[in-house]
Formats: sequence, structure tokens, C-alpha cells
Amino acid sequence: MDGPTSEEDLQDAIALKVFDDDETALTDILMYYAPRIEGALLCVFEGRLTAEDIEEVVSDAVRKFWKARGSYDDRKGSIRAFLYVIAKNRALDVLRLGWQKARQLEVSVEKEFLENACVEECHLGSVPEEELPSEARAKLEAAVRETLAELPDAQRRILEEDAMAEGDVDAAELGQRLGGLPAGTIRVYRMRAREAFRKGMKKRGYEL
Amino acid sequence: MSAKHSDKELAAIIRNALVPKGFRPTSLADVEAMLDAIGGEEPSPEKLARMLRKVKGEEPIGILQRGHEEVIEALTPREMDLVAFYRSRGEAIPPEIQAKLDAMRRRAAAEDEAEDAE
Repeated sequence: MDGPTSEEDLQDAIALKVFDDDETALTDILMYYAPRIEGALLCVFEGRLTAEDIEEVVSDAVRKFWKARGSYDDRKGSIRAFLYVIAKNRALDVLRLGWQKARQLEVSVEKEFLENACVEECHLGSVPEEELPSEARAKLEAAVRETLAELPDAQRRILEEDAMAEGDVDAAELGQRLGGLPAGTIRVYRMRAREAFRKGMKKRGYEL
Repeated sequence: MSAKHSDKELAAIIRNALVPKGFRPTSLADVEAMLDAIGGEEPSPEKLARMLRKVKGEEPIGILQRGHEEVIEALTPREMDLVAFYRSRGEAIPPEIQAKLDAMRRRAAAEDEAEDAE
């Protein structure tokens, strides 16, 4: 891609191609945006999704974006930011359901894209943090890690997988990841894990 | 922190302890800042070509084997050509395509068994 000299120029050039339905934008997106998005997702989902998984979800996100490009409004955000949101939501689908079920999800691309644009915080899936001073926050996070470490392995994994998936992981899927445990066992363990976690945190002075 | 937290909030507290703060954006502006900071190397020509095929629908997405499950796909026309090519030369079929062929065979065998049982 010749011409653009700065990040801003590059983003403008790619956006113009998208508005013109110029398919060479796909190559630019994969060349310049995908590596950063993949890098961020690898950090977020370290140990839970592989580099191959991330490549798949980013490819899927670009595909979805391209299909819905008519809905893109550059006043709401950059292409790469939207791509990150779409890719992260896809990664969460895979974590919650596994690839097979995630692929079967019937989601309207355009609807999903517009919702991402309008309700960005919801679709980023993050709960705004409590306004804790950094020292208090570090103490809380250390307490969480210590409490998790005290739980039986399966219970700890369930809490961690649910937390990272930003919702309960499908019990059958999670059972398979934990070595073939039945879905019913996962549900019971999940309940016990939450109780044990709350108890452990209470011991450390946090009423959850 | 005295209020009773819901399971969802509990999960958020755990997530905050597991994911570094810079990777927990809550707005598109946060996403921009994160992507600016992270950098990244340009993909290899092979990877770029592979992703482009997936984006354009010329190669299926989500065929990875994940533990117990396998997503069974039909072969794309290009893969069918490749199978014919390799077979005609008596050469081994690439593992990715072979895995799909094996999965299709297993599915067909299971369907046959189900029909026999009926």
C-alpha cells in the first residue's frame, strides 16, 4: 500500500477503500490491523485460545465486517476498533460453546454490527471497575488469586473459564475440557466453587 | 465492598484479577489505546493468503479440532481438486484435508449404522 505516511493516513486510506467497496481493503486490513488485534486477543485469552483459534476468530471478524460494511459509520469509531469488538465477541462464543456450537450460532451480521456501534460498553463485555485506589485494587486482585489457588483444581478451572468467557461456559463443553466430566457434575461443582470462593474471600475481608 | 455481588459481578472480579488492566477496555477509545500500544508484526505471505481465503469464504472457518469435538465440513471445490490431484499422483493428502475426509467417513458410517438399527 503506497502513500500513507502516518497511522492516521493509513486508517483513512483503508476506510476510503471500504466505503468504495474496494476489495483490496481486505488485504490492508489483514496486513495492518489483524496483527494488533490478534496480539491483544492472545494476551486477553492467554492459555485459553491458541494462536490458531485467534487467527480463525479474527478472520471471521473481518469477514463479518466486510459483509456489514454498508452499516459502518466512521464517526462512531475506527474500523480496527470495531474489528476488535467483533473478534472478541466471537472469541467469547468459542470459549462459552466450543467451535462447533459457536459456528451454529445464527447471528445477523448487520444487527450485531449496529449493536456494537451503538452499545459499545455492553458489547465490550467489561464491567466498569469499582473506583478503587490502585493499591486497594492490587490487594483485592491478590486476594482473588490466592483464593482461587486454594480451590480444588476443577472448581478453580470452572470459575476461571466462566470469568474469561464473560458468562457461564456450556456445561457439556466445559466438562470435556476438564477431562470428560458430566455436565451435571460441572453444574454442581460450579455452585460449590462459587460458595467456596465467596467463603475464601470473606476470610480475607471481602464480602462478595 | 459490602454489597452482595451477583455471580456475574463475581466473574468480573475474577476476570479483573486474571487479565492485565490494559487489556480490559470498556470503550472504543480504550480499544484504540490498547491497539496503539500493542504493535504487531506483519503476517507472513502464507498466513496473509490463508486468512484472505477464509475472509472471502474460499476456505472454511472453524475447522480446528478442539479436544473431543470436530467440526465436520464438506470439502471446498479447491480441496476436492487437491484430493484428486494427490490421489492421481499416489501422494499423501495434506493432513488438514485428510482430517476432514476422515471425519466425513466417520459421519457417513455413523449414519449407516443408525439407518441399519432402524
